[in-house]
Amino acid sequence: MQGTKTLDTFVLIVVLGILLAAMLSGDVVQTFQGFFRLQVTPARLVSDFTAVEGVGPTLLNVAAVGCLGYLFLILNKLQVSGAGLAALFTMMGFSFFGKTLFNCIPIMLGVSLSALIVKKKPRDYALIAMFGTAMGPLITFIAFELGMRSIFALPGSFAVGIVVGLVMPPIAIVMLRLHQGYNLYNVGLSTGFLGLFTASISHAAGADILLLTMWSTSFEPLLMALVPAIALIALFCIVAENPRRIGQSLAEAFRDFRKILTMSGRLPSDFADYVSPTGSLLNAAILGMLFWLGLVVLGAPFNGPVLGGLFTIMGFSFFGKHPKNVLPVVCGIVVAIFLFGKDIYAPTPLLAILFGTALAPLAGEFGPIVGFFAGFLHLVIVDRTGVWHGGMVLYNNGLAAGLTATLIVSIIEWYRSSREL
Amino acid sequence: MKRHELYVQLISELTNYILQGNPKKMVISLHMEPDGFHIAAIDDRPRTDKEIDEIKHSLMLHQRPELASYYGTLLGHDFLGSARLELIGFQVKGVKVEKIPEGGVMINLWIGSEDFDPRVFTINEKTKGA
Repeated sequence: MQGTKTLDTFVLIVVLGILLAAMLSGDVVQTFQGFFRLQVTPARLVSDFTAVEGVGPTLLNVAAVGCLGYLFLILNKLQVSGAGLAALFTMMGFSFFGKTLFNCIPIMLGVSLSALIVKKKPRDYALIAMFGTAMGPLITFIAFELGMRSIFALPGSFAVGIVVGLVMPPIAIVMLRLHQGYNLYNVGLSTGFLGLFTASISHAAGADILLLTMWSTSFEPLLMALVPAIALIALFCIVAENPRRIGQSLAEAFRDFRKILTMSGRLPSDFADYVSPTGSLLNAAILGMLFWLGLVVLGAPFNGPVLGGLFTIMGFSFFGKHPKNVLPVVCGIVVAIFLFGKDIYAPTPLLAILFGTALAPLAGEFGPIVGFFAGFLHLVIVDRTGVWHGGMVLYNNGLAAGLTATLIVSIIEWYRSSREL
Repeated sequence: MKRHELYVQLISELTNYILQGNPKKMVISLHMEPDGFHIAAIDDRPRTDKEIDEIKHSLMLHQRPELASYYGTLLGHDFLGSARLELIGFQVKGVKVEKIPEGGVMINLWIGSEDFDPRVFTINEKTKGA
């Protein structure tokens, strides 16, 4: 129970901290005005909200979506666990560049309805509902970009969101079996699969959806400070478990962190549950800071999508990622970037370095060489997949990682089973 | 049909786990009740106390409905990589793991609906009587 309280405290401090940062970043009225404009802004890939409305409104959007996710967990009577944190941080991360309150709610309702249809409780599909908000841009597109009158567009977009939510659980469950838990962003593969159909329907109707490129390169100290601040909050939560013995708390967390390093990370690997909340908090702080430092050394921009990547990495540090299993994948991606002459500062390669870590369980289970090849293949395919769904699916890297994992898993499975027979 | 699938998946995952230890003998029994069922698995591979504790830890993670209905669907389907008792742990209502005198381990699992109470499961009475 103490561990659950620690994770609860961590989430609350992070969400309230981001809310406070949003309020202090500029004029409060303008921040709220910008926040409301974000709800009607096109949200397709890549729509960097910090480039559209600035830092304050974006942070307010992140805090609002974080509150929505947290309330959703509470309403469903679910404790904040490693899986819940992964979902929450993914929701918050993508609200830097695509998710809004407006486009998340219908999907979450649809998934909950789906649970009721098969006589389950909404909490049974809570994770699918939270991750499923990746299809948010489709709702925003129908509501504000198709040019329909609001009286039709708003209820129409809401209804489409519900339908997307309704079909999400069966697709997510089947896709999970395809790659057998080796792609951490399973809903990315699921929504990508669904996105192929929605983009094709749109194409058939004569409305091709084009990718957007809103990508801030301006230096924002507040955005740059977010990840170190969250890492410090994680450390604070570790020592707050036993404030009289700070050294002992940190030593125990480090011991548990080393245990986490021995795990493959394959879905579902809830480090907070299987090992300890403090060990997973330390893992999140270390992994988040490693990637943050890497980006600082690289001189990459700390804009909305990049922060989305960092938030997602920190979230999945509670649910599958650790330094040992992400490193080979990142190496594979970086080598592919240089081998194929890509610009490492361009959105696709840079985001692939961050989000390609969805393939970490392959390195964790089958070793660094497999992880390296997975990363290499991921970079190649992620360059293409965005066009397939017209940027309607925010987890484009999840789709590419799912396809890569399915390819690798099928070959390994065939080789092992045939050889043993 | 749903219950039939769950039997197959649970037994598959449990079998996968036990066979990874290369035992010479494995016995699995299934006993059905109106509102639940009991699976018992026995093997002959000697295990240390630490290994027994690890089995218990994996199986006794508290019920996680959000994981059981989603990631729990991997149960008994994936044979690439290590078997995962946690997937079984999401589904069960009661667990008992103990060493047997012959040197192996006996894993008892009770599974049932929301109202199911493994404490009143009849197989306990039968076992006591035997």
